[in-house]
Amino acid sequence: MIPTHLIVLCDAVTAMALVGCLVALWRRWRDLGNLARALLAGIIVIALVVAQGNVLEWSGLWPKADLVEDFVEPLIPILWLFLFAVELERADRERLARGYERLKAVHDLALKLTMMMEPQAVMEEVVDAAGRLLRAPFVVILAPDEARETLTARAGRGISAEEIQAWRFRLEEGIGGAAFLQRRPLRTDQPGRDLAPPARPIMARHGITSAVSIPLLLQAEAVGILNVGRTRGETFSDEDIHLLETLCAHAAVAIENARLYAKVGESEAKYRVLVENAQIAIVAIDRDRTIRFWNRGAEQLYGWTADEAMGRHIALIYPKDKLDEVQRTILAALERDGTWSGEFPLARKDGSPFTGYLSLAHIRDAQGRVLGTVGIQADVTERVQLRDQFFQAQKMETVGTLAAGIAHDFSNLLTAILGFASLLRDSLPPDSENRECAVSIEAAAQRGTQLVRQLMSFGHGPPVLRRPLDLNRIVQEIVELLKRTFPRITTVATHLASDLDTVEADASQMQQVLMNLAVNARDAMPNGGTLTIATENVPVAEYDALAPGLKAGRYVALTVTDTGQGIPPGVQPRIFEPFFTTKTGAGGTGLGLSTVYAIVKRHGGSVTFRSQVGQGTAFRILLPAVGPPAPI
Amino acid sequence: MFQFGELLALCIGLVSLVYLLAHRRRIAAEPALHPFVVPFLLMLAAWIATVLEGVHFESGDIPWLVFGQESLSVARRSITSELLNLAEHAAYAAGAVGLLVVLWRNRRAVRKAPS
Repeated sequence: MIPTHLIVLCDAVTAMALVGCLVALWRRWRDLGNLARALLAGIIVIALVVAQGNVLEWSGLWPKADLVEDFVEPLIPILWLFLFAVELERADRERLARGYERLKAVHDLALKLTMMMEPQAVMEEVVDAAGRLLRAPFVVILAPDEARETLTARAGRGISAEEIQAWRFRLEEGIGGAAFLQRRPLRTDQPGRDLAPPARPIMARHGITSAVSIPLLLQAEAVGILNVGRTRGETFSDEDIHLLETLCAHAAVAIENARLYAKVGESEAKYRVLVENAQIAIVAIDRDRTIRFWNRGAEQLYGWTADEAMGRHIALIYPKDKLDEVQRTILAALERDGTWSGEFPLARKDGSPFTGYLSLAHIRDAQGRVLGTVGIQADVTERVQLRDQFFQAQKMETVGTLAAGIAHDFSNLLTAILGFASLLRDSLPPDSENRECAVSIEAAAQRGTQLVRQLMSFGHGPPVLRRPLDLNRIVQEIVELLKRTFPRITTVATHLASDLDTVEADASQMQQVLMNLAVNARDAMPNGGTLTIATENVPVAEYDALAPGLKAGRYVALTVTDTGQGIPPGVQPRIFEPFFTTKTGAGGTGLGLSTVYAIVKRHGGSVTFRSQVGQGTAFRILLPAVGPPAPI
Repeated sequence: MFQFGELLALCIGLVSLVYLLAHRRRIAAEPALHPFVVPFLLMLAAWIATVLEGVHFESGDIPWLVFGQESLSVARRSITSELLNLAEHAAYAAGAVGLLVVLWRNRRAVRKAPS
């Protein structure tokens, strides 16, 4: 027979355990939901009712009631069911909470990654986040080389820098390479067997018992691998892998963005240095035409520093009297075409004008809206001057050829007129009235011949008898002559270089040049003034604006300066034209300066001038030097 | 004869079984639910013992498949009945203790869980 006290003991244990369960549940009251609380309260009420008086037996519904078998035994499955349901709900809530926490963590990480601009920093953050989210002690991120043949560790958690350095394997090795090639996650519970050989000793050293390789996919292309390892037999659930996949998707985008940002940054830095330090001026303005970029070239061109120019209106680079023209031409063209380029008068900080070449274009956003304008500018004053001088030289050459041709024909006609006028004069008696007419014809023809000779001198000129010549000597001879013939109110001064090089020139033609210039200077100073004649040696560089058309080399400069009325700007382009004169009456033939121009050109030199109304004029003649100063 | 409590326990047990089977995948996937299986199996054992005891008490016959004989002596029947009764009470006791352990462990887990 089985002793009864064994059954009683079992019942006692059952009752005590149930009381313990109820107490434990009561202590978890705060953790329970409303339904669970109601159920638990119901159980307790039923228990109390049943326990109080064996109601079932008393009511006669059941013939023999037993406290344990009628109350406790049904209570166990009820309690089990209740606890199981509660636990299921709690597990659901925890799973949801865990999922929410993980999603939030991934979301926070994604936000953080978007702010990171360094690929290495992004990878380290991803590795750290993966380790934290999965409570995994071992995480490594690997990226392929350019040839996409090997994978190399770039960042890791729970692994030393030396081990990261050594972690490199070919794509066909291990589940890491396979996950990369197949573009899908792979996991293993035998990392010592399934990982690439170089990784195995590292895994063994860290006691990794399970590992997973997740590809970092960017537009369906793998750009890296995330390896996560766990120890002590912990494995990776599907949920873990989904989380890692989400993480890797964000990581791939962030790494690519950081890489592109770094690339753009490098490019931007390169172009910024290039643009900021360019010798050519580069200026950018916004829609309100406020200056937003001003490079070093602009500082040099305009004289405004970047600090001074930034934030000011672009009008500061234009002369004030040209602003209307800017509106009419440049802004209208920009509005119409989006670009404009051409020459335009500009002004420096000190107000000095210059001719600039501008190339302007609108900056637009992706929708085509104008954000501003960027322009490059260069000082082309010298180029414009050279171009004008070139056109002037061509014009003078054409006029000279024309004049020479006409003069030649006229010379023939005048020779005939002069000859027949002489014959006519000699054939007439001395007291004949017609003899006076013949003499007048002869005199007019003589003057015509004189003019024709000057014209021919401008066109082809007499032959040049070039000899080594000391220009200082010519100047001194002319100055002596000028001092005797010029009015006393005109002072003649000289500044002659003592070491002046020798030139190869025709002495008489040089005298004519000096005389013509001196006479013009005297006429420009009716109220007196100073005529200065200077000589000096000057080196000339290629394309020197002050020596147009000359080859580089040593030259002798002859400068004739007066303090007269100056030449009005409107007249300046025409002063070398034959027969152009501003002198009224019989004072000028208009051939003086054109003759100077022709003679200097025939000697391989150049003549330029500077003139300011009311202050005077300076003519500068450059002749090629042929040797050192002549010995005295 | 079946007692009312035993019958009630059996009914609830059947409901629990259905509930358990319905959630078998969840139980497999959720480690926190694994400890619930052992008390349930103990309860299942108690219910089986109850049914066998009740069948034996009602008919006087023990299923041949269980005991290998078609009939037993009254004395042996009485011992079998008492053994089944003891097994039932012992299984319930073990199940109740198991529940307490599960509750205790889960209470600790709740405390450890992050807020």
